[in-house]
Amino acid sequence: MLRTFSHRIYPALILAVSATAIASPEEDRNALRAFYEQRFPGIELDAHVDGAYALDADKRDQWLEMEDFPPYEIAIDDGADRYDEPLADGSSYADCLGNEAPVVKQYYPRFDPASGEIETLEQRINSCREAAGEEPLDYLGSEMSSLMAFIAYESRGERVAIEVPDDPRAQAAYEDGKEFFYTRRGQLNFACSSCHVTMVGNALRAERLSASLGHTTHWPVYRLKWKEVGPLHKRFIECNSQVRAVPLEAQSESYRNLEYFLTYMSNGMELNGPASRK
Amino acid sequence: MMKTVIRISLLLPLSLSALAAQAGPAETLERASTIYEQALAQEHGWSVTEPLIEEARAAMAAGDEDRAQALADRALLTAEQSLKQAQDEKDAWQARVVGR
Repeated sequence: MLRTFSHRIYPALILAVSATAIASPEEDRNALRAFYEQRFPGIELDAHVDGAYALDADKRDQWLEMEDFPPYEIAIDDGADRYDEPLADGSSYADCLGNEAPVVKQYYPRFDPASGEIETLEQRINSCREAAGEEPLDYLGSEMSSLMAFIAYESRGERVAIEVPDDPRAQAAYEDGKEFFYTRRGQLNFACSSCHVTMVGNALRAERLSASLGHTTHWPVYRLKWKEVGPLHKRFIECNSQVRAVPLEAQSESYRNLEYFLTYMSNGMELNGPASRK
Repeated sequence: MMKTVIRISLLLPLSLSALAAQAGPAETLERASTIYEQALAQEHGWSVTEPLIEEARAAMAAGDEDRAQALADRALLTAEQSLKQAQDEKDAWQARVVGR
């Protein structure tokens, strides 16, 4: 009798746990939104797409002046030219990226059922190139950043629409990204969440620590310290290096999963890339 | 039983450090490199460790045994701490999840 009961109850428990896991990303997103709402009661959640400039009026004024002559404009123009150039087999990026191309940034990163991994837009671009007989681009190089700047610009105003499908591999990737976000690394013993949750809004030297909502909406970014447009994963590398951790490779599985988690947290927020940052 | 195993495994790096202090710089460096590789494999390497290892090797090559030992000891300490961080964080991160 007991054995029969346990045979019935265990599958039910597993189903219940699975159901919780499936609902988890949305629960995480709602909890994070509630946290920032409470932490910054006077600031609309959607304003966090502007990062630290949503939290500091003086810095926002300086930033808006910089945006009068956006330093990323050259990258957008360069990206538009590259986007229109036919690939080696005569096809185009538009053929490869689907009907809505180039307005596709809102759907990336996405879970790829064929590989069982998270596919970023940069990876998709390189897949398109390789399928057309072209060499893949350097993920940290200016050619990729220009293409991404153009696609981001065309996708402005769209709302982030990331899905975590009912596939254990997708949910594992999401959970892995979440774990990365909350895990302390480096000699300084910092997690992403140390700055962007625990100490959010405080000043770290001269910088205001931004909220994680909207962290992925404005990439690629022209950073004054880089003196060029660069991708989100370059920022991940920089963050890890700043806490004296050995950074991972751009587009490594862990960074892609982190991007997946962060982008899901920004679901429903407006895309506003490319952008400029200090 | 489990608690005992955990306690012993936590004390192990400290005992190894004590042993390393009695070893020469070459042995200490080998141990530091091994532990550093283990931390790297768990994506928890510290960027300070490899330069210390390289500096220690350079000091050894230059015949400066005392400096080599001091640098190797520091390399070992940072490698051990990075691996300990990796082990601790396997569970610790969950307590930081917002809304948990």
